This record gives sequence, structure tokens and C-alpha cells, in this order.
Amino acid sequence: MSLNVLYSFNEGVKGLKRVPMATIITITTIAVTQILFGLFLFFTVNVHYLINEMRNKVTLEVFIDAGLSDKDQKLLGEKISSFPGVASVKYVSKEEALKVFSKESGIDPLSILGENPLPSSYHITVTNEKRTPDEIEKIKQGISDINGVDEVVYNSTFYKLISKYSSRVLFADGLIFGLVVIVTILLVANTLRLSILTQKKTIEIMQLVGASKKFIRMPYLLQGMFQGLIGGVFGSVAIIICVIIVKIYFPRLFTVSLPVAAVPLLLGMILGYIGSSIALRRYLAE
Amino acid sequence: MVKLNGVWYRADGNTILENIRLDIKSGEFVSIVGPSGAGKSTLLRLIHMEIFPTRGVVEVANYKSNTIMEKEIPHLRRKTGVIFQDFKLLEDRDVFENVAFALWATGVRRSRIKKKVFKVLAEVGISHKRFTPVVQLSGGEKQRVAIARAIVNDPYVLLADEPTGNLDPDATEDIVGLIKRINKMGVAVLMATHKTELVKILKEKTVRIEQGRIVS
Repeated sequence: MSLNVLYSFNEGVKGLKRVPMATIITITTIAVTQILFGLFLFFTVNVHYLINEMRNKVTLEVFIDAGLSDKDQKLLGEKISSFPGVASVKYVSKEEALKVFSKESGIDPLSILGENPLPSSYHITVTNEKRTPDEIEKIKQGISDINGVDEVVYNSTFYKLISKYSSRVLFADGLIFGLVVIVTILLVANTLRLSILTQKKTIEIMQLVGASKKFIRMPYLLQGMFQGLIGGVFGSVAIIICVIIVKIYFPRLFTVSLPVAAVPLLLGMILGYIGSSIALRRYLAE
Repeated sequence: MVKLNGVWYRADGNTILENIRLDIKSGEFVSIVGPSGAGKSTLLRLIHMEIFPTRGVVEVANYKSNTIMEKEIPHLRRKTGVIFQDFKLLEDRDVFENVAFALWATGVRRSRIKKKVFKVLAEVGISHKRFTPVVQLSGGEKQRVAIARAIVNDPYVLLADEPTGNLDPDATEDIVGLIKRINKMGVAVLMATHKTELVKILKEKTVRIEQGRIVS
């Protein structure tokens, strides 16, 4: 480690103590912005997750002709699997279909009709890129034309509603997220500028005794990063608390991976560096 | 050493300095006297290259105001020690840190910094307060620290801008004595002051400035 790096590191840490009020205000501002950012990040991740979950739940049911032999049913399954856009195929026998129907409706068709009227079927999901109303409709038509297929059904109204509103929700979410990021950057940059303003006299003296711009800049950049890091910890903790609450109270509804919690931490550091850099450029240029 | 060749300085439409010609040799002591607003501080700031002449050239050692590059200015300033009426110390640091800072900035090794700072603090007579925060020092002590900082990098010239302006008569005598001692060590001194009685005591070369012109 070169001497200047060592000096800058020490000065960066000491600088936090030298102007305690400015440090507290800066860290508090960064913490508030990072908590806001962290919570919105958590919300955004979950909006995306929920929309994907809903889209994944849309399956096409391919009903098989009643007269098809077991062998032909298997061949049909292979044909459907290799159909472009099909992600997964699951065979549901007549017996399984009956069980599900009886459970969901509370009616036992066997006792009423004396036989199982439900056909065997394949339940298919489509690949991500084909999850649009038009593509799903094409897949439906394509599979309907295969020999041995009686009918293909899916909840098209529900799927069209999801597609229509999810794009609006994602757009609004993206817009608000963008605003949150811009507000975070502006607030952090401005707070760091004010923090460095309190040390303007020190910077001037440093220049007078012959310190180079790089030498002056480094401790303040590190200081900005430290402040951003500490503020970012609060944002990360906010996400972790949300994760814990959600896992306890909504275990099946929400999810977020813990590495997401590191985002405010990293963002805080990066913003601390950029904010200090902008502020210093202004003072060192004067 | 320090040469001002037909230097003019204008700011906000006003002429602050007019056709200044000055030649200060190595080891020389020159007092610049004149009333407030005469342009004394501007002259020192030109030599320190905080500002640049509107016309003419300022030369300090091998550096010329018309050719110096921005990255060379810190190097020049390390070789032109400067002290001010208001001391300009880093108020949130102690005596040692204030002086050591000027060496850190030049990339001097840690072991050498300690040795050099202790030596220079002894030279200016403030080593007994080396770890005292500067805010706890008297005016005279603060000026000693400022002088230590100014000479720690072995400058060619010491620029003193009203160095006794904020000091009582006893401290003034001490500081002037100290500056003279530094001059005797071979450092050229250029001291701006409005105190004519001080100049009479010093009995050194004197340049009088009035309304931006050298009058004698």
C-alpha cells in the first residue's frame, strides 16, 4: 500500500470524526434515501415475481381423443413436447382428472353417471418468449391440428388481462423506480456537496501548501464512500427486515433473494464516491 | 530567484498592480510596505501563483507564470512557503499534523516526516506543544506553527503576508525575530506589512507600494 493511499485512508476515517455534525447529517440522508430505495427495490422485485408467477400459472390443457391407444397417447405427448414454444408437458390421466374434479367441485361424476366422463389430457406450459396472447393463441391452434387432439383450452380472458395490466404495472413501476433512483442520486450528491462545503477552508489551505488535486481528493472520496456504505447498511437492513416479515407472514406469496439486500450497500458506496467527486471537482476547479 | 517583469494585474475592471518590476535574490530579505489596499497581498499571491498577471511575467526559480502548467503549481508552492495574518491552519488538527501535512503532500516517507517535523518545530520553538490542537494555541504560537509548515519543505522563498497583523507587540517581536533567523539560514523572505515602524526596526531592503505602483 503506497503511503498516499495509507494517508488517504486514515484521513478519510478521521475526516468523519472531524466534522461530526456534517457526517451525521450526510449518513442520515443517505440512510433515508437508501431505505426508500431498498423498500422500493423490494417492492419492484416482488411485482416482477408476482406477474411472472401469474403468467406461469397459465397452462394449456390438451384433451386427448377418447379412442387413442396408450401407445398413441405417448406418441402424441412426444409430438406436443417437440412443438415450438412448449416448455413443459405433463400427462394427466382420466383417473387423475376425476380426482381433481371431484375435489374441486365436490361432485362425484361416477355416482351420477356410472362412468368417468373426463378425458385424459396433457397440461403444457410455454416458454418465456412465447408468453404473449398472440403466441399462445398460435400454439393453441398448432397443437389443435395434431392428430389425436380433441380440443385445446386455456383461460384466454384471464391471460389477456394479465398481459394487458402487467405491462402497465411494470411501466409505472419502472417509472417510479427511475424517479426514486434520480431523487436518491440528487439528494446524496447535494448532501455530500454540503458536507464538503464545510471543509472548503481546509481544501483551500491544502492547495496553498502545495498539495496536488489528487492528494486532496482521495481522502474525501474515501470519506464519501464510507458515508455511503454506512447509509447503505440501513437500506440493506430495511430489505432484510422485509424479507423476514414476508417469509413469516406471506410465505407463498412473496419472494426476494438475500443478495438483493446488498444493492443499497453497493449503491450507497457508488453514490458516495460520485457525489464527493462532483462536489470536489467544483471546489478544486475554483 | 523571484523576478517580476513589468507585471500588471487587473480585476473587475480595476488596476490592482501597475508595471511592477522587482528582483529578489536568493537569501535576500525584502519588506513590502504600503497602506491597506495598495496591492501588497496581490503581489504575494502573484508570486505564489494563486492568480496570474494580466500583463508581464512572474518568475520563481525555474517557474514562469506564462508557461507554468497547472500540475506544476503544487510543486512551486512547496518551494514557496507562505504565511498569513490569519495563519490559515487546519483548525481541526494538532500542531504536528498541520506541519506533517505539508510533507505528506509531497510523498515524504513516514519515518522522515516525524524526524523532519520534530526538527522544524524545535527550530521555531514550538516543539513542546507538538500534539496540542492548534485551536488551543495563542496567536504567536499559531504563527510559529504556520512558519514551521512554510519552511518544512526547504523553500526558496518565504512569503509573509502581514505575519504580525493579529499579534500583540511581544509576539510581533518574537515572530519577526524568527523570520529573520530563517532568512539567515538562506531562505529569501518577502514580507508584506503596513507597519512602517516594523520596517524601520528590520533595517532591510524596503519596497513601498501605493495604489498598485512601486513608489520607492
